[in-house]
Amino acid sequence: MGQHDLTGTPAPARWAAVAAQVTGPAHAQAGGECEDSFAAASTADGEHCFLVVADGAGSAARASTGSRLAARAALHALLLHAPQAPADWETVARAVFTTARDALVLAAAAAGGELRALHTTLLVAGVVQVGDERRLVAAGIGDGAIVVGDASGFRAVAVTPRGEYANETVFLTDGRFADRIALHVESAPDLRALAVMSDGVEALAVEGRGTRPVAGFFGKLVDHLAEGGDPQAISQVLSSDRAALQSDDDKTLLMLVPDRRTEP
Amino acid sequence: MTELTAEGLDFAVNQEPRCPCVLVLDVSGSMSGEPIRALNEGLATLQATLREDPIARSRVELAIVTFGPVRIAQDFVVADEFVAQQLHVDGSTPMGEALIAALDLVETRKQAYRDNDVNYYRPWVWLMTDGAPTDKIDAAQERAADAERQGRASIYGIGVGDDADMTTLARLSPGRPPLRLKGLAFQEMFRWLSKSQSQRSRSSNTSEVDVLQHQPLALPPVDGWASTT
Repeated sequence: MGQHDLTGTPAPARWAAVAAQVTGPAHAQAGGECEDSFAAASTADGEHCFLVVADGAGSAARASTGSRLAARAALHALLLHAPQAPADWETVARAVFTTARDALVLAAAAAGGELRALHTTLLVAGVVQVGDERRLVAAGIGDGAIVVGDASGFRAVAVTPRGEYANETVFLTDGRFADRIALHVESAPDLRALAVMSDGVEALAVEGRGTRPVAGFFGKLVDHLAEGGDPQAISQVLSSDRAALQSDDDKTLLMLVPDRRTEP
Repeated sequence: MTELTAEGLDFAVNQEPRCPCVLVLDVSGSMSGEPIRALNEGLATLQATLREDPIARSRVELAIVTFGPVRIAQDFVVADEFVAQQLHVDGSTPMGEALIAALDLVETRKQAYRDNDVNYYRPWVWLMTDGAPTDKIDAAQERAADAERQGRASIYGIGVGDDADMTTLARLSPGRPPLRLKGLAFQEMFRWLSKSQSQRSRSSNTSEVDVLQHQPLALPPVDGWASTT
């Protein structure tokens, strides 16, 4: 782990969200828009913070609309439900996914189109406070990854069940979605960083079918941000030629890191 | 101790997800003359066009099974290393046996991907004939139906010329209707195949549920080289 070992850095009192997003070269060349969406917010009292990333399917006609609606609806539902039942993540997460899916069902009906035109993944993660205990919560459907950094290093959580094939997944908009939601909750007193990413970033930064984060990648990002580095640099990494060769898909990386303004 | 194999090293050097495609090609006597010449030209085009694509060249993998007699003319190799060999006409048309050999080859390859922790895309089996089978195809039909139902592979049937047995091709490619090649437009067909493999080898996600329900994939139009009748 070396220089990326997070042991010894204090657990932060407050968090800052950092986002980087680049349109994949394939979409950019075709004059298309980014089909990933993200959203992040904390409750007014700062007790609970959430990150949301949705990746509209490349094969879907209205992919960017699907991901945008899903991300927005999910964040609203998180802010609504999580403070009421912070200790019951499964119930909250299922309500969040159902709300987001309902938003897409309504949008498809309003447009007189098929739900599959709005195919999107949905990943949510955050930090909730349950009494004196800080918990890390995560849930997802479809590919992409949620990576946690703490005193023991970096690891993937709420790893969604993968099908046999690399480019096929189950979306929020699929019939079987409720069975395929991956859920994770843990007590997280040592949490130092949380990252949620679309599969374009997963291709660069997580090996072994979404299970093994590349410690060097996340370690360097966390170090960079901890030293007050410009968050823009992350977008530059994601839009590099090397990143494009790994995946020409859209790339979205949303992170929670210690808020430097509140650090000593 | 882990066994060190050339294959293992190939995967270690190239960890890219693989997009396997096996061509099952009829090279029986009736293909002699202009058809086999055009087919060989088409394969050379496939080699050239795949290599032009910086992503596909390290992700698309090609294998060739010829019949008859059934022969693995080319085991799976990444497009970058694929060299189109000259195929020669020989023998009869054991189409059923050839398709089974191809489906076996696919399963063996997928196991190698899994053993080496390499992601992969749904394999394509590209079955092309200008005639009718000279062997019984019942077992092959069952394997084909099972492959489609279980999502093991997608089988495409291509008929060449007026004597191609489209009914048999339909039985052996139950996921989608067979296509009939326009004349000897092998070059156009392989250009299309190259283009669609290039598209597939990028991570443009599709729904697993849609694929199993045979929702049409967003592929380039085939009307430049094929008809559905």
